[in-house]
Amino acid sequence: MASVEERVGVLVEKHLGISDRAMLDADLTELGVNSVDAVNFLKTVNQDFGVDISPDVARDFTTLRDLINHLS
Amino acid sequence: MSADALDSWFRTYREIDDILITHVDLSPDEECEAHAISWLDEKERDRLRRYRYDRPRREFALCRAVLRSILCSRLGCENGRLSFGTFEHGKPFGLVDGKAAPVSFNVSHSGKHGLIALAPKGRLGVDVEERVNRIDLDGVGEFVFGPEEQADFASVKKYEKRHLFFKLWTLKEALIKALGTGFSLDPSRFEIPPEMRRGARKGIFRFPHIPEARWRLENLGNADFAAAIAQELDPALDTKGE
Repeated sequence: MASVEERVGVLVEKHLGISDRAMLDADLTELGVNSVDAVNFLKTVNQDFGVDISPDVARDFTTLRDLINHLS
Repeated sequence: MSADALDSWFRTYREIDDILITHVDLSPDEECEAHAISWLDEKERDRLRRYRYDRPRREFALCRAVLRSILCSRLGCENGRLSFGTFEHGKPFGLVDGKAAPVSFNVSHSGKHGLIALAPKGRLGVDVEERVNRIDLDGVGEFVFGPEEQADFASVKKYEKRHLFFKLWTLKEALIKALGTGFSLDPSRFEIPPEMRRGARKGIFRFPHIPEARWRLENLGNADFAAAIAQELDPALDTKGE
């Protein structure tokens, strides 16, 4: 079974167009993801993992690694 | 940077009473970017170097250079005297010689379009979005729309959904940006006035949790992009137009 990191990496590539896995540790402000894409991505993560992370909670994530840790 | 060089990539988009809205062309252009970067200070160039991709680097450089140009013109100051600070949730404000400048502004960009709104006072928020195909409109709509907005969204024909989605999104985002709280404010907890959801281009809005403050709200969208502006109204003024 794929790890959380692998599953998030696939969603990041598909929905944010970021294929370089090193970017999972980059500061989100350095990736230039706009708000509508970010919310669309969060909604997809919620569906894929069967969780209910709100935009308010996600606001505290500074990297995609923070999201992976939250899901692990 | 010469005025001619700047003129080639920005123009006045709208003037609404005391609000000036400028459109910035964010199409890739190495010459424009080089001009833009020459206007930035060292702190801003550090920020540019931290971006991992060309697109956000270009968006920041072009919009910040135009913002600097507009602010210098409005405040009657030289570029070197201008710098920027940020409020708690990251919203920037202008400084001249290290002192807060008497001006309000906000910046947004999406794809090839940037918008900069500028006014003498009042909290200000602007949002622009290209109506891209990659968004799950129904899924995100459930996330960010309130009950009445969701009912309106469900009632429109399929081909109208994209326009309505991005209209509501930009109106909400403009309000959130004007308030300056980011997504600590759940966008589904307030709703765009019904008359604006159904076609009116402008209206007056109040957040349920701060009803004493009134906000001017206007749809700025055109065929190329969805866009909206929100401005806090002076509480000392009368309430005509509500």
